[in-house]
Amino acid sequence: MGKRRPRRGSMGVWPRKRAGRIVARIRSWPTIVSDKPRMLGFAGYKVGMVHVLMTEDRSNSPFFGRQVIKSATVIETPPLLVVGFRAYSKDVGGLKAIGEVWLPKPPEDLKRVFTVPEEYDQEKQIKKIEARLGEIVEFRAIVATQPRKAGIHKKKPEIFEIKIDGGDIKEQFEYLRGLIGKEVRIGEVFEEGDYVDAVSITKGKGTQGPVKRFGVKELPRWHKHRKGSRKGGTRGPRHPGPMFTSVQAGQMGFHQRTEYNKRILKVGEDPNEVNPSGGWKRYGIIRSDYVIVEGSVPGPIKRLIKLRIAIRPGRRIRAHAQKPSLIYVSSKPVMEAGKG
Amino acid sequence: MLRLHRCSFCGRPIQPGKGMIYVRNDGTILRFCSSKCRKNMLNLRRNPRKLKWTQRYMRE
Repeated sequence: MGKRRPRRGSMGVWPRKRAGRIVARIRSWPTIVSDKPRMLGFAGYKVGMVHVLMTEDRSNSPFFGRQVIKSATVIETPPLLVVGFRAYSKDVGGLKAIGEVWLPKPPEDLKRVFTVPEEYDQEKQIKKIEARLGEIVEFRAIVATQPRKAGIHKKKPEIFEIKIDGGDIKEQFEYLRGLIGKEVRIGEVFEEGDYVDAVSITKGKGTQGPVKRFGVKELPRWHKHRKGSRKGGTRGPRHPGPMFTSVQAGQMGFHQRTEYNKRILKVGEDPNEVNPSGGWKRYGIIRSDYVIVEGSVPGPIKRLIKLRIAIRPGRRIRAHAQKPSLIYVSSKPVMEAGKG
Repeated sequence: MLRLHRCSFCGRPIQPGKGMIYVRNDGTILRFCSSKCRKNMLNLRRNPRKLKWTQRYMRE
């Protein structure tokens, strides 16, 4: 073998098939050190991308102290409604749910997701959990998104769990009891300068060949290539049987992906600060809270993006937690300047 | 502080993060708000004072 190149496409994300659901699932949560219990994540709808002008505050950057243009993603985050919470105990196979409490009278829109029980004794369920408080190792809030408050034409809420951490179990229990039925806003969970992970389902591309899917080289169309120019060579030896590691055509996109360590540049409450005069392309206008996250985020516009406290911040990130200084966001052009 | 530069051809302020800086061999810095302005100046060698759509247009 002559020169060896890395294989086309990572096997770490195998199988490349469509995600089970359009809403991403957060499989693991970090643990934090905090006196008070708090939620470790949030969710919002992707609005679009902008570029921002800010002062570079990473001291290891050659542009330190100077104004730089960076790309950023705007995510609309209408307040999450806490509709319940769940208690987990430790079991041999991992965490095991030992009880859950729901709102006795959930909002109308929740009927779009599941059948709401006619009678529900919330106190009974709370007492059940209280009796087994010693066994509990983790609490998770059950939250519902409120897309009606966002700028998109969507009514059906997404329901998912968000881990609570900080304080002790008793404090977390009291915190959730007070929180149930209330709204949580993005400003109560994240601050500007925080690092988060963005978990989402990527844009779907359908069935694609190996050139687009894995980046194999496209061969000349006609010169000595009778069997096709966009194919991936041999599929492997006759023995020892099928190996699944060679490039083949198949589903591309619509996979769940997590992008780590995205910096929150802005947590905004006034959408007029960023809404462009003609609205956002393919989105509409932001009507509620929003965040601006540095860089890109997986998924198309309008898809739900889950944000989680960074689960693996590097040494540099931990040392460098300061508020970014945004000067300008490109969705609001400077008025005296021309369009160009 | 937000600092705006003016386009070397049309004379309008350039939005931050947009346009292009062109440095001539003699070190002259030209800032363009769009490819239209760049092409008019460098490729088509037009005079902005003779074009009505620029801010530098001079009436006779």
